[in-house]
Amino acid sequence: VSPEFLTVGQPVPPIYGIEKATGALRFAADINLPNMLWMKILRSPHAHAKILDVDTAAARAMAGVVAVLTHRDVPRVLFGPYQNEIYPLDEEVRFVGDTVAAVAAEDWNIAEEAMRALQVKYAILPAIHDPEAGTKPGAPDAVLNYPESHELKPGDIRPDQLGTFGNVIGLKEGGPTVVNERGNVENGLAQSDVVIERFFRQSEVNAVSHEPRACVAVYRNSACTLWCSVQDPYRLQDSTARVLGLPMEAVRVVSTNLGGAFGVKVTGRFAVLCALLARQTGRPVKIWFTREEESLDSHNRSALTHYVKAGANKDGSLTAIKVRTFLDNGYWPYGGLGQNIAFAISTRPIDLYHRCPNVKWEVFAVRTNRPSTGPYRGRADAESHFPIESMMDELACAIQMDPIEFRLKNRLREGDDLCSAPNKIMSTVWLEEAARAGAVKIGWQRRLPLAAATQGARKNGIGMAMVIHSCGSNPAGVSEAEVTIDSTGRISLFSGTADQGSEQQTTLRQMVAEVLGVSLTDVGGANADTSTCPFDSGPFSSRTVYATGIAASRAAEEVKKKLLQQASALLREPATNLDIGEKSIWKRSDLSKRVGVDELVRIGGGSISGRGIHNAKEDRLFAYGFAAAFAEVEVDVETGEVKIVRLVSSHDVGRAINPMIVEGQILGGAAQGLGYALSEGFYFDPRTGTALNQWFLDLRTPSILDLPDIEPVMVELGEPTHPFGAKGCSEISYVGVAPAVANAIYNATGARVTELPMTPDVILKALRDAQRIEA
Amino acid sequence: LISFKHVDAASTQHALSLLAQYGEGARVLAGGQDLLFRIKKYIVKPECVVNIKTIPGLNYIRLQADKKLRTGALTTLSQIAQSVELQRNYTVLAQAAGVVASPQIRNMGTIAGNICQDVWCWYLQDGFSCWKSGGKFCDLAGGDSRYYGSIMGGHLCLSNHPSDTAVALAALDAQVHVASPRGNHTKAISDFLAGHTWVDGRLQSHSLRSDEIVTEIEVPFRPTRSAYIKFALRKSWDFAIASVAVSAVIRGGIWTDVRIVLGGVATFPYRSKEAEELLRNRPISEPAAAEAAEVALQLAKPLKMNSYKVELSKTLVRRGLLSLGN
Repeated sequence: VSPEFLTVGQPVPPIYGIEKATGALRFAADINLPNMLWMKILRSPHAHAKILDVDTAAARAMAGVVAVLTHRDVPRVLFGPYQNEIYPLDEEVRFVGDTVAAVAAEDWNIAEEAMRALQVKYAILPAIHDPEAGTKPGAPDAVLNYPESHELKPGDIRPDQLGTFGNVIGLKEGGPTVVNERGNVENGLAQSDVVIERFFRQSEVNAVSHEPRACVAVYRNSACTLWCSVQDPYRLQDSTARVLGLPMEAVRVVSTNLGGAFGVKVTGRFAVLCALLARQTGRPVKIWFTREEESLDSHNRSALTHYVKAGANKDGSLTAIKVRTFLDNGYWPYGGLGQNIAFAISTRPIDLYHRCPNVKWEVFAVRTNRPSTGPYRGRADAESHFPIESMMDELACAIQMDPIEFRLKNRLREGDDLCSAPNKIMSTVWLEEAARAGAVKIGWQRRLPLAAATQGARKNGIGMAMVIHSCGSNPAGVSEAEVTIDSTGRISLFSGTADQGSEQQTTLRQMVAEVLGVSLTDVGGANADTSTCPFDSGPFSSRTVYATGIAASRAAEEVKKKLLQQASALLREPATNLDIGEKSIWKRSDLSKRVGVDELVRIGGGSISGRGIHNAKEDRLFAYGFAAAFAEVEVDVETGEVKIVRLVSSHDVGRAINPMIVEGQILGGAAQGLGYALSEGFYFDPRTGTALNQWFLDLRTPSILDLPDIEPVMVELGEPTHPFGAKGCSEISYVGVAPAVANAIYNATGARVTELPMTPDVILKALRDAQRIEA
Repeated sequence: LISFKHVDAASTQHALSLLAQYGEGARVLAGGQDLLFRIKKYIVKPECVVNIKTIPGLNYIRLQADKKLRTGALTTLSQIAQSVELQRNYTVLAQAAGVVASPQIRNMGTIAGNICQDVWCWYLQDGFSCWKSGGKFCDLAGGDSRYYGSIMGGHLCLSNHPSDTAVALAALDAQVHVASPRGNHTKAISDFLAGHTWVDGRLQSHSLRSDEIVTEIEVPFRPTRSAYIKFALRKSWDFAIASVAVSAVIRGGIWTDVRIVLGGVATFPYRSKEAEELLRNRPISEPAAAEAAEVALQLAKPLKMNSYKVELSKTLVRRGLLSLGN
């Protein structure tokens, strides 16, 4: 609790918290309009094929079927979050589950039956099911059709530069997608006291949002409105306008309440098809994904393999990191998702260990015939920290140094330059403070030497991992906000950002309330409706509280400034002598000299408004989040079961605008991270590319009984580039859990687990391997 | 969802006549926890669903004077799990019923439905060959068998029998009462669940004919101690990777009459009579339990990705036996 603030720092319940908890909150799937049609998508049974023909006659002949769309019926227009998805429907299908055709019918059952009545002739094409195999010379192309024309942004890879380089997304023949290099890694390794080499493998995982995607589209008078579970409404607006050939202002997208978006509910094919069907039928059209569709037609955290070599000297200095990573990009054409993830994988851990002089990290983002990769919670850092933090633990052990001290000696510091954000300088780094606070909380001094327990089947151990994640500053982020006071005195915040489940609207309104000296309940407004809200590039990189927060605070400051100016004229006092609060302005030294905000608004012509913007490109100082995860485990060496005894998640949050919400985010992220560590995997048949476990049960997110009481720690030492000192923290708690658990298992048993998820079969194999090496 | 007729059966006789009338096209609905998923996924396409939940008098737990247990087919898993008498006298059954899936499923799911459920297999879907959906080989055999593949071989289908309660019932020598147009009869659970077999044109994991229903499960009383250990990835809403049901009559530190049944590893509840015999009249000891565990798994021939279940099951057998105490 911050004594200098009224609302900021208070753990007030989220504005829709009760509604969410009681089930009263409405989502896109709850929207039903009169005369509405239901849409279903026919999905490809083949990993890679060309559609020769779709016979729609039987489906069209069914009573209640109103429209059928095939690739012949849709505009050949690029769309998607990066405007690089090839046509709403294409003749090439690129993964099992890819969209083949869409039908609209009077009810869901008829739509389903009609979808099943479509007769499709395919020419089956060779497919790529394994990223490493996809890089081999002579490997078939996973994707044949590329966008023909594209408005390139600086830094984008041109599609015509890709074709000759097989399936690797990149600029050079045979080269990786990205390489981050400094010093001389081979010399560094050669001169190290200790070198460790490991191979890591991580399974693909799905975000398993509780809410399957839904969209309702209405087309009327050459204008289209979409209510959609989408976290980037402006990009969907742009895509819909392109596909329908309408001006942007004729398309309205309302991002509905999201039942967990986790970064992956971005502009998708289903929504633009829904809009096309609404136009064609002249009736409202609704689509609601099944759980299987939600798993398949999404963006997953990729399957990865990492070949890692790292060295250290006995004095605790990290000497060299060499990594080659293969990332399953899925079918996604180029740019945007896989490419950005590849870049962040190769750079952010290297920023974390900024003192390491010799680095070479290559990432091969390889197109395969799988669902697309994408920005799932902790994007890129969950992918990279498992190998790196496992290596740091083992190196520290090898040079007999405390793993915390080893990491801190080599870490990033304030003022360092960043390879993950060229030309930017690191702002605050409260990593050491977070690590030490977490160590105290879990009782790090209790940690025993490696595999100290000799008796019994159940071995206890403690491990930790340090984490960096972009928590606010993202070079691609722009946020605008508007604050208004209308003639009735109502204060409103308008922000384009969608609330993807992390209650940012509450937090943003808290900041506005603080600036204007009112209580949270005095601030209303709207968000994520493209017709009423100013632009926001969307909630990703945990940027909302930071970037949109800056914009909203600036907007509120402008309103405050206008109010003070008018009060100053009215009260004949310099503005510096005035205070604002409780909907009035008064002279600090004479409380009787006072004027109400409502009166100022009336004098000011009926309303007062202010706008704020934050554009990360203009920032020199970048704000990142830092965290330390600590796990205490009990490993049953006879069954491979890993019980989480304690999990401490300690964070540099800058300042918690709303500690209740921050704590909720830390707990949720850590719970998901625990699934990544121990039970979740999204598996595909290696011969056909068909998903094996797309059902809710088989995706195996942890149940409440599998979770320990996660213990959050918030280190609040501020961030000077934010008006209230906040950094984002909704993703970062995911990232450190898997390596912390792996390191705790190592501490307990001496077995190094290098595969995710760490299921019993994986644990038992690691234990056997460790025994073999010992013998 | 496909269209089908839904009829509430007024009596067992009524149910049997409906089943006879619709033949192949009929399916029995009790709790619906297994059937509805299969209908929604087009795995099962019934012409008529016969709802037996409306038959009065099939939901009961009765302990007779001789403590023999009789439980009606429609008794829910929650009722069984929460019965104090079962917890005391048929511990393994109450424990197994209490760890099936999730609380919601246990509230709806019935004991008869639980033992009659079909396999949960990643290859029982479009795009794969599966005997149960008309295929001519089993894609699980060479596929991803880490959770649901048998380690004990099998006939045609290699997917595990997924039930928890069936494993417990096998350790209690349960009898299944069947109402049939050819005369009501009882079957030992080991005959009722003997692996995947063709019955009336369906490859089933139980031996019930398409015109029969289960009405009761009967368990003879023995003065045993018993326990069920389920090993799964999650503590709620999950199938067993491996499980064990053990029951034993113990007198003066000696195992006199033991049952050892494995779940999650075979196409039926896998009882090892060899391991049971090995322990007959032997003093309770850890080495003896380990020996029995070795014998119980001696016929294991795991698939490509599930060999870890062999050692895991041995551990469960040993721990299960020792958990019964002296």
